[in-house]
Amino acid sequence: MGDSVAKCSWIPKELSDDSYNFSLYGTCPMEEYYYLREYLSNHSAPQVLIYSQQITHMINAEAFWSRSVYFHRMSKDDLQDLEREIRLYDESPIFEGKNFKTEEFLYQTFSPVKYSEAFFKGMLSGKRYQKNRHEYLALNRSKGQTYFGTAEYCDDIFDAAAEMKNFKADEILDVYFRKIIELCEENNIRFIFQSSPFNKSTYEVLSGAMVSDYLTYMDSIQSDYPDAVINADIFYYDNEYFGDMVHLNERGAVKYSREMRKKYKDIFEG
Amino acid sequence: MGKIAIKLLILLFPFYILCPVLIKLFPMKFMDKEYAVFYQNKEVSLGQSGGQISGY
Repeated sequence: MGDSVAKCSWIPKELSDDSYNFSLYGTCPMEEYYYLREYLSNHSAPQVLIYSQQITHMINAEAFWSRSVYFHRMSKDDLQDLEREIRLYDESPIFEGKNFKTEEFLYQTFSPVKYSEAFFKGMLSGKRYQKNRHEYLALNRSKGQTYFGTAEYCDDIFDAAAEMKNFKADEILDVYFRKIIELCEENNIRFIFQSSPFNKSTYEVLSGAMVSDYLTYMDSIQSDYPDAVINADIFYYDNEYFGDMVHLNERGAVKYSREMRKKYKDIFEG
Repeated sequence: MGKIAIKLLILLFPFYILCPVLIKLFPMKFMDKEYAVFYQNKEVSLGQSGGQISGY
């Protein structure tokens, strides 16, 4: 489970017959907690949850409105639960200064204020249905894994990470990250956090202070949840393994998945 | 000025009705292909998908 980097990186067919990639584009712990809770209310609990999240998704929720709410991925009840929960905190920058209730209403009613572009593009292009259908079937075949960038090589720098001079997890995202771990513990799910690689170009310009802050934060999570496995090391793959500045291409994903299969041999081959 | 505003309203009215109705009924036709990613994930989560999760 995790964001788009996890969506590209973890290939279930390279891991084991009983693994599934439940990640989504741009999501952060806030949304993922509700997706996991929803999943558990409809399925028996998995033995293990491997969670993978980019550093940037611990400080912002870039896809909350534009994807999770826009595509109606979050249920109305979960949105209301989230709205109640965030009242406990000061206004967070992750909501981009938008009024939660108003935004929720506009998205829930498919208001033209939010969907006019989709409407006109859908009316003018006859290919959107075929593209969606193709993607849907491909995801079913790949057990939830797909690619984002497809270049053979990418040495562009991931600015969002490179520009971070230090790291401080957003208060709400920290709360929800902890809630995910606690939900796993309540359901006897072994929780593993596993980081993904940066491309070499980005890795070389990451701020030392930011990396240090981040590792200190993840150490504090490890201390608070000793049963969880936190592997938050910052590392890189060569640029040839990247389809864009952030996401592994097919070659990179195969390499990463095989390394993870070896690293977590007891899980995938046990 | 008033007449133009009324004409605009009349022209826009069907759009304001059609847009939400059509997108709600046929999201795959109107949304970009990332919609399929979120839709497939939701189906799996709700246990309604062809992409079955096995082995648990």
